[in-house]
Amino acid sequence: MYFQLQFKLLNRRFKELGFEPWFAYVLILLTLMTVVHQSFERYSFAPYVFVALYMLLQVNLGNQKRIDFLKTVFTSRKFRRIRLLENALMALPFMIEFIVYQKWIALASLGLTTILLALINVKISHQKTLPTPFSKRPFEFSVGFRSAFLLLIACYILMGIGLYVDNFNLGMFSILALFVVCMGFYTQPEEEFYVWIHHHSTSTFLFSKVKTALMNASLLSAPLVLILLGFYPMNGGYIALFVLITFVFMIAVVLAKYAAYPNEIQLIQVFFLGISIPAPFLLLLFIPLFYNQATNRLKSYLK
Amino acid sequence: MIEIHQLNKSYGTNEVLKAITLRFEEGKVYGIVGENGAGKTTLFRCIAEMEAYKGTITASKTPLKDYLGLLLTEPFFFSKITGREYLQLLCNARSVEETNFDERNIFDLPLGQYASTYSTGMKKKLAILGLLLQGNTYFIFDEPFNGVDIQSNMIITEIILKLKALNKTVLISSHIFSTLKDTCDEIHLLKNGQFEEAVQKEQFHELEAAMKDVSIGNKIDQLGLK
Repeated sequence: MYFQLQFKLLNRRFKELGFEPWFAYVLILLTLMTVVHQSFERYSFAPYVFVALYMLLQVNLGNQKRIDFLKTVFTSRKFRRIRLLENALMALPFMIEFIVYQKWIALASLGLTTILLALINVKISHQKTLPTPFSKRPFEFSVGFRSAFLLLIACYILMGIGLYVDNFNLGMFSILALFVVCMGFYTQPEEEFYVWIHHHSTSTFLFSKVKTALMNASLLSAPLVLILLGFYPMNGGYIALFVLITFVFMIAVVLAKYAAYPNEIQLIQVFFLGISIPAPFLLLLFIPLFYNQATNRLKSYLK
Repeated sequence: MIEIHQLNKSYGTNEVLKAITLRFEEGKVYGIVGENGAGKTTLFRCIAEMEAYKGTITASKTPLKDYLGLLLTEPFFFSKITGREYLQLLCNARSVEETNFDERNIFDLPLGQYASTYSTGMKKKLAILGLLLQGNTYFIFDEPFNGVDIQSNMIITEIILKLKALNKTVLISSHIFSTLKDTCDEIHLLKNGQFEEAVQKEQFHELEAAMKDVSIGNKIDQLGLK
């Protein structure tokens, strides 16, 4: 019953976005298949990108209000079964891709993440204040850091494992995962009051949002980047290029958020971001597009 | 000064505000009263330029929204932002350099705790404090006294009087008549999207009696309580 309701809600959402549900499913499937194929062909660490993407989707599913609601409505046994099943459903398309392309380590990581993330939320305390280095420029990173604290720790642990087993790709993946988690901080639109209060122009507002995102993401990722550089100095150029591309993605995600504001990021923006994964140069087209859309969307809130 | 001229606002075919013309002077406190759905919040949202409307709203300082402190009926707080961070966010939004939040925390709020864990009254006090720290010229307080303890109600009343003394323009909506009586210079009665009358301070008791009469009438007798 719960999943039937979720299915209905999802279909309704697609309709609100202007898509027939069947078309949206086919579009998502085709995009995923194309992106996976292209990425797997080009990058050896691509499977881990999808594990990170899955983790990002999980950050949304694991939000505390939703968890509290489920806990209130269902018995603890049913609650855990629902969490496991919804995580597994979310993981299914990725799992199929990993099996088809025989990416067994990524498949195992995904399976483990699916189970762990279904259980972790049960135990997280959300009352105690977790200090963050972002208090001077709230809110995305201070809220996001606290919500995804365990995922950020996991990224640092992954880097440790990567260095221990001398796997450069795993180190790169840990940096990527961290950036993906940071991008996740920008997936939900804030209440209009929090845009309205700014006395900035739309361009200054967007510039300030992008600047804060890049500065804070740099702060979180700097230790990982520096450690990896220290262990693999010969790959310095590669690491620098990689970090540069993730920065450009970060800019695109921040702008995409406001391009859809006050709604959530739309399917079309997700699609543009998705096809940019195997071809990052496309962002040079999409960033100005998102910027223009964001400027138009914010006009009614900022002068 | 805020001047509203021929303000009209509709949602589809539903006309919420009808040809409102009004002037709010500096150094004065105005009460806006009306039943639920009379259009108070819509009026505030129009003044704050959160809604598109027909007509004109001008102010001595422009753009008006950049000098306006808006207290919503139910202020929203992010789930994992502390009281101190909320204040910082509001100050950053208006480029206000403020570092000593603890000293200005006159409501003794636990600023290190997540604001979402605050009680209704504490949330309201935090929201008010944030607006005060921004150094606004105009204030709209939509139900500032709701859910707030009696001591803080007294502090909020004094704050409003201080804002008046500082030549600010303050608009208040409240369902607690006594709070309006203590703070307002004028009360405007909004009914069906139009201002029916403006009542000066010396006639407040007549307005209160009239409102009681209209609202209560013989409804209590109808209950048939024994």
